[in-house]
Amino acid sequence: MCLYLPSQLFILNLNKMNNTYLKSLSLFFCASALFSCEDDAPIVSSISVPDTYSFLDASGESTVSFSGQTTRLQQVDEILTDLLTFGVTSEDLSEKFTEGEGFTDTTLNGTGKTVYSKIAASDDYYKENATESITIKTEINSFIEDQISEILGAYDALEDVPEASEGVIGQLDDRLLNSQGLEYNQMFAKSLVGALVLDQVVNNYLSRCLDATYQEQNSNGELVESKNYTTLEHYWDEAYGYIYGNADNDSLLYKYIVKVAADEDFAGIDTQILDAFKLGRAAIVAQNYNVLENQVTTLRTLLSKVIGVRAIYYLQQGKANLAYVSASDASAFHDLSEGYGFIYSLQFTRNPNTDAPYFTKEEVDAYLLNLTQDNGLWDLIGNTTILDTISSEIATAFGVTVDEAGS
Amino acid sequence: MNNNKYFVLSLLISLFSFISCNSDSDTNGGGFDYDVTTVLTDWVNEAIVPEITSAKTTTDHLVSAFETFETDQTLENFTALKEAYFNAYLSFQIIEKYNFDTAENISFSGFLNSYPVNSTQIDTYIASGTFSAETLESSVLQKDKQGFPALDYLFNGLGTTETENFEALTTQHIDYISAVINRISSLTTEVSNSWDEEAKAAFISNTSSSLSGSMNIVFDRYVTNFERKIREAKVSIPAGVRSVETQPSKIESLYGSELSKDLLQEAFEGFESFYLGANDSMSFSDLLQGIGRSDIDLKMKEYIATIFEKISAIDPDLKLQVETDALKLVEIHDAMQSLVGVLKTDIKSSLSLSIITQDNDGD
Repeated sequence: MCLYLPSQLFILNLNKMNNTYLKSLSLFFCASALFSCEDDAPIVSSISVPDTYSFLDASGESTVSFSGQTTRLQQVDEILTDLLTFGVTSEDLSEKFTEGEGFTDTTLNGTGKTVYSKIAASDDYYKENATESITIKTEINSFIEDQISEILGAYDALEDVPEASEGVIGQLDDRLLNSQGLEYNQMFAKSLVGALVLDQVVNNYLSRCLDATYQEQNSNGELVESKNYTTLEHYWDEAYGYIYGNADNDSLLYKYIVKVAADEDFAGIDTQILDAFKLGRAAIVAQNYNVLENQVTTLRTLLSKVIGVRAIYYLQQGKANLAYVSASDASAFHDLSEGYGFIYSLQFTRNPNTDAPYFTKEEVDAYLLNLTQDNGLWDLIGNTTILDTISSEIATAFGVTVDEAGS
Repeated sequence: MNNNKYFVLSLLISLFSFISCNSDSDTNGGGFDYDVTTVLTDWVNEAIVPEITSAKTTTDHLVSAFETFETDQTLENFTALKEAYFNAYLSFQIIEKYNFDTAENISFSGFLNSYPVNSTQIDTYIASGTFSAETLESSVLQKDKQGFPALDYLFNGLGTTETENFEALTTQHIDYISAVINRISSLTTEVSNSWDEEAKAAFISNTSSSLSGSMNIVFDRYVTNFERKIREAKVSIPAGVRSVETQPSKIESLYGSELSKDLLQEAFEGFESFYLGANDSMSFSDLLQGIGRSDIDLKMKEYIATIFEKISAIDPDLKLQVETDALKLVEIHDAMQSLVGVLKTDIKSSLSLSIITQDNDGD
């Protein structure tokens, strides 16, 4: 916020500046700047930012809608439960994942919404790169397929699964591991943090909000047919919905925003993200597109940073726990399976300075190879240098330190 | 013109506030407010190396007691072997917390002290005749078939009396015992040898305040060992703090359970002695006093005393204690949990230390 408010105020006030008001405005500007170190510095301008993400039309009806995002996030929840349930079939899961049908929670069926279609599906990164989009969809789908063919479909119950070991699929400390010690359910869930949520937010909906056509429609008050919101407002809400649309039970990005903010080195990042969403939406209402664009930049930066920080965190925790791996302790494998997913998610991050991901798919794949070659995680026991190398490269890219992120 | 001055002034102030915010948020460059080199030097020379050397000596005694027994298989030599085993087990309790560098890389703690031991698989190995010494090194999954807990089983678990335990030993059993002792010895030797002059110098010169600096490594392992190896493994898990039922079969030294409290006592004494510092050497206690935080030091000492008091109130046999009155162990758990609070908040922040290893978030 510190970095941000003075320049925002500059823009806001400069737009309105005239000789009559210049002196008082400048004084106000000083005062605002001085107080801007406070996290909750009020933004006094024509933009009215509510305390919560609540925006109403003239008749008091909410103009916020993101039910499609909530549906998808809840579909993910049920699929994650299935990924640890013996007896689930490939057909069952494929129906849920790719068709959006067959859910036990029937409200999730027949909505036309699917998780699969929104994986690696952003305008900016994948619209003109269907090849890579298909590759990513296939990779993520393979985590489901393999979990079923290797484990859930191969045994009747957890008790029947043999002990996992080097190169051998099985269970260890009740965790279901592939032949490289990786948990497919974790790889799936944490990859979706980037491939579904982050990509849709930073490379799709926030991007659309920068489109002059939608901004002009918004300025003209053109509403979506039979709705009380503009297209621009709706796109912003859809971005918001991917983060906050299932907040009570979130398994994807929101969950990790909260966890990263619990680290004192990143305290307040959750508030900064929410504030940017609120301010951006209020700026749309106020038709102040400079402020809107600044919030897009802030969100791309901070949301990407959450992925980077969490990737480092799991690599470092996994490293510390590798010395403890035994028949009764698989926590290092769990950490590194989560780490796998967060590294995978790096390819969906968005660096506002380059409008490209902080790490390309090729770089991500090269990192992941260290976790999957030969006996995979088993081979890292007593041999953890590579985890530090990867951590340190990620840290540098995001302008943090391994120390800050790793504990 | 006048107006423009205001404007420029306000811009400058904005800029100033931006810069000052930025430097406020940089809290990571700070080092330690005390003489780290002296602390690290004392730790190496007065605690880490002498204690590892001492563990090496008791392990050597274990090896020679085994050789004596192997040559001359009498009840008397069996008793002497068991005694040597337990002395080595006690000295291991002191050094288990130095779980870094070589010890960490070779999973020293895990290979020497994973329990409950997998006695079924040990029996299978012994009966099959296909067992070879290499089996024990083949995988981290072999941790629960070796180390001190395996010796506990083979020395105390085959019969109900000393004589029965002695008479139950076949040649195959003795071969297995030999492999287990050789592995304890070789791993201990590896850790001991790793502390050469070069390693000592490297440890002492690593005064960085980063997570990979010696201060933070030692502190992290000290706390982690206390939480996982002392509180959880020895107390909380058997007492049923982490489960619906108590779990008496998860105690350390399950088969020679009358000795189980001795191991807990020894490990906690090791924890205390490192906190206080041996032979007037620098320690966490001295550092706290040195920076004017005797209040925290006194609190630590008080909590440590409470834990010793509670340990003294329980039966020497933790299995019996869990079966008759597990709540006494739960009280020790609670007291240990309070101590963790002091370590992870008061000491951590006042000495500018870091914890690397987090509790699993369980998802």
